[in-house]
Amino acid sequence: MNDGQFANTSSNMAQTVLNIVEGYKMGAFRALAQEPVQNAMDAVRKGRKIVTVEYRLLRRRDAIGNPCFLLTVTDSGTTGLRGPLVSSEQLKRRHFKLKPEENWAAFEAQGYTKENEDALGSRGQGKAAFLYHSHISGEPRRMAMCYDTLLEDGEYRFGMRLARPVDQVLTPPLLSEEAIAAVQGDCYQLSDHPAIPLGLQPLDDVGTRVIVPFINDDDAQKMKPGGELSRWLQRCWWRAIQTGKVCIRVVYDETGETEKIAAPTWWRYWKPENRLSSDGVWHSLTKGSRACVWSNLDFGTGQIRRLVLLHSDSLGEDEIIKDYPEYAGIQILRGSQWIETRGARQDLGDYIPLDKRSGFRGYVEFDKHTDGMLRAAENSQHDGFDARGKKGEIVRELRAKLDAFTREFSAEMGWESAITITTQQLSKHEKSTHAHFVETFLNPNGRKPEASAGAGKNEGNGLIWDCRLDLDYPNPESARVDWGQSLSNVYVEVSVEPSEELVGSADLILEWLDAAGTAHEICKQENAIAKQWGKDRIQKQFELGDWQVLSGRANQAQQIHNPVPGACRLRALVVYRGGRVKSAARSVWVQAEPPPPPEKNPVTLSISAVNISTNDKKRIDHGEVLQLQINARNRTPESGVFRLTATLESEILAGDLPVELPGTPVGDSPIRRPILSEKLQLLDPHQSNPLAIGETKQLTLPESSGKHIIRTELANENGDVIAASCPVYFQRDPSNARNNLPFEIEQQDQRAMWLMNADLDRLTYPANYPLYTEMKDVQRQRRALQGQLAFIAEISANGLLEWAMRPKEHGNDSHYDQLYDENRSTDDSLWDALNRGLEKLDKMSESPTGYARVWRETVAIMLTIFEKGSD
Amino acid sequence: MPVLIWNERDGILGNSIRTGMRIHLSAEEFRPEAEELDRALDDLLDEAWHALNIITRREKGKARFDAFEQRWVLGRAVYVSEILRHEAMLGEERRFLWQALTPKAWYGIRHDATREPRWRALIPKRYRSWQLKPKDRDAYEFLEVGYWLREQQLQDAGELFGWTSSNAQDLYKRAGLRSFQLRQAVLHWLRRQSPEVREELAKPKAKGKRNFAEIPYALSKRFPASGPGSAFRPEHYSADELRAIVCETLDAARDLHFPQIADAAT
Repeated sequence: MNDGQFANTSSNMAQTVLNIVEGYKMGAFRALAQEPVQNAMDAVRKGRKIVTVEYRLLRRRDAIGNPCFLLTVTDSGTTGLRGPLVSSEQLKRRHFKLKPEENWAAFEAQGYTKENEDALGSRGQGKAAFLYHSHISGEPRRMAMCYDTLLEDGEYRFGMRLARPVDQVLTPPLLSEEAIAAVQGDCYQLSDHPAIPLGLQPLDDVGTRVIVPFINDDDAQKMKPGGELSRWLQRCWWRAIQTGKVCIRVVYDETGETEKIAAPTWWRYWKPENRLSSDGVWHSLTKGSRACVWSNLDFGTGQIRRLVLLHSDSLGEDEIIKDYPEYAGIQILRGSQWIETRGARQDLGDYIPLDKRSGFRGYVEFDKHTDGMLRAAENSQHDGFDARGKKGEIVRELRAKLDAFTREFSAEMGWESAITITTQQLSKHEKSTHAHFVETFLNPNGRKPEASAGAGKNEGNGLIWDCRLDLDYPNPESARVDWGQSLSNVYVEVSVEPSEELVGSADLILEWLDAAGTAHEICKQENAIAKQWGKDRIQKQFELGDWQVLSGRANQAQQIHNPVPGACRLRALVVYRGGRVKSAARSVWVQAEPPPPPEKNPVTLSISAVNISTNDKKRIDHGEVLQLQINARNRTPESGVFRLTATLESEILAGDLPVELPGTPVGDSPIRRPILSEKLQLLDPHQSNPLAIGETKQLTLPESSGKHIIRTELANENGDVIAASCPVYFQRDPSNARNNLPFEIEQQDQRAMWLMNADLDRLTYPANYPLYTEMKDVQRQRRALQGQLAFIAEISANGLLEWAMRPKEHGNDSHYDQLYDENRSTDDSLWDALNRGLEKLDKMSESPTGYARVWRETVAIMLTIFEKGSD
Repeated sequence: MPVLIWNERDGILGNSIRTGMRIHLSAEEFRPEAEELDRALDDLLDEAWHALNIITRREKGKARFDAFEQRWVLGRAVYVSEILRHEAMLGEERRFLWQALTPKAWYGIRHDATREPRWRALIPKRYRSWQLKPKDRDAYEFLEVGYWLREQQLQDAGELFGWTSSNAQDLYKRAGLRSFQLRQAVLHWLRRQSPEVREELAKPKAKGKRNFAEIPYALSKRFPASGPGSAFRPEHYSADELRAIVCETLDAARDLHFPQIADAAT
């Protein structure tokens, strides 16, 4: 049996100190300016309103007579390091918890929290900020600090800490006369430990003094009045000084030079306390400077007590380090202490022109409640906030608020023209690539997409075609067909309107697509669809009989040779003036079991709302006619009765209208069945009514322009409801760009490569996305996928898929139906592959990784189609 | 048809023509119509300013222009003036009127380029994004809200929204809850509530408390903007049916969110 025990390790305190102080992103002097004053303010004595902190640099000689510097930081108006001396054994017995008033013990311990103190103060930053500046000569790195305190009861204590490099504390500390003698003595040395030059006056006011010996010469220069230390003290504490909470002095003992830290000049002579308004009060200052003060502003769950923004052309840049903003920007003050700055260049550059940034100043302070929430999001160095997660929500909200007010300030200052230049914009090439990409895949008004038009590209664009293919499977509930069995009663119905626009005639082709996707024409009826005089709508039916599927050769008519089992398709195609204008297909599982229907959303709705008065726009103007068609798909094998509700503004188009939806045999592609069709002539309430068009219903909209929503719901017998909606743009364009795209593309500050907004009308990407910035900015476009335009195409493809698929989660197929179209050029298998990809996405519901894979494949297909079509 | 947009840079006035209709060469071809509309806007703004001056509250003899009243007055003035029936506005989107009206009032410029600084009081000072993004639809939302608010009398609207523009904005943001009938039904419900409840519901949301926003929140569950339950809008019900629905919905919300007040009442 092992009878060993645990022993304390000799941890390297010097390294710990280095690690802590190097965690301050703005350096050791900010830590030295920040921590002692913060600790002093936390220890303010009851009845005292102001705390005084004095940084004094002294010149001494070490034990061997070499000159050295000593820094003392003395606070008064505080409680001093009070409380009993707590040994490590006692601390252990108390589970390493100290009481709030046990300051001495807390100062001597390392990394323990006092009761009711948050964890931010428990890491020993205060001690580290002092020790870091002490350099005992020789290796390894060693540090020392002494501290004496005078308590209210007259007790005097002197303690000492060494990091050599293990952490050591003078135990027990010196008390009363012994302590005073040590402080006054030229040098304090215990046995063979380093001798500390002191020679100080004992404290005569209640408070604490920390003595940092062996300051190196470089640091000593920065600690003199007017040096870097003074500048950091001003940055961190100017507001607390201005409001009379603290007084800070920096003294060089050798010359007697003293500097009292004051607020910076731009805040010193102007206190915005008098007029308070949440609307902002503007002040004209000297030399053309202007400032605005807002008070009591709510943001998210917090409240800004005061936000002050100021600009002066006479102010130059006054930053100590260049990496992080200090004054140039909006200083965020928590409890009068500066924590971080929202930089004029780094964060607010979109609103402040280049030449105005150095003269831009601001600060924001909060009510107590918000201070508390911000403290929770603050880092342990008190020099920044963590904007992540739930705690960081307040920080995110605050930053957005500050941005908004800076924008307002900028507008009032008349900087908007400069801002336009500094804000990065989408290039024309990028916009046109996006538009071209989306138009390639969508047919804006439910018409034929241009990219697939082939030879008949511009013919028949004004025609609306419809094609339906019906047949009976051997088993009515399944799309499976075994060799030797027949697809019976194959029936095709084709319709087209308006009749008068049909020039010549169209052909009907029936083709078989085998499991590999290869098309075989099995029947053709030429010139079968022709104008029917006197009718607005041409409708033609084709009864094509029974078709037997064989594994062997087809010797007779009405037989299909299909030796390979798998998912095949029977497709009816309408060919008009050389182009394939409409098709309908049914799945056939030859000698194979089809997959079961999806469990989620087995019934879906889709809405098509088209301006049939003009060809090329989504916008509907006064007097134009909206053709509305509501369709439903039933993916289950059983037919069912549903109730349809549809409204457009105050008009009830269908109120609980019963509709019957036949089932879909398992494995077959569900057929989109129209359940409501309506033509509406839309009218402006402020214009006189035009002549009515036939029996078309007229609908006066409540306003002259606006986006109106067609809302539909389909409920089954159990009361389960699915819903779909579709926008109608009355006398307004869908977007500022006046295009017919379903969504626009814009740059936005965000982390993700692309995002589609909730309304599915805005696709955004960050201008600083690493991949995008690394790609070449295209000045002269030679190829569709080139430089940053390739990036635009990639995110447009993703956006388009999201636009189509997201509404499907709620049973809305409206967008999907616009992207998925059997009406593609079958000469190019890529279009067929796109349809299959969309079908897979439609059916997949289980594996997210599988879904993502199919998504990526579909995007790749879209990019290839786009590249081929464009080049 | 077009609108005329005024601007001021370093004290120098300028204007341009803007339209949402398709143009051949330049919107300038519509300048005569736009200038006529601009003249009509002078009268509209004069009327609006006088109305605001009459209704606005005064503190120590000085007018205290309230954002809620500013919005309502401007919306009402647009409605009463029938400016939307003006020839230049036929077939034009309303946002173009806002784009013309806002800088004209803010910079105070009459059609003959004389100045009228009083008009600035009509534009709430907090809403300045139109200066940065003059073509942004959202930048003029305060005017859209005002135009929507004008459907009610000022007293009714003020009572409903606690005279707080952010409350009105909260309800307006939910597109499914904009109907006049619904607002009247909510007002009917509010008037039946105890003073404590009404006081709570008049406050704008702050520090994690929804206060007034409880109303749009609860109603949006009953009348969702999209998805199941969205097809029938408030305007599809009769006034009595709607009142019954609103009372039921808001009673439940009140009992859930202000149980102490509900308990005290019982």
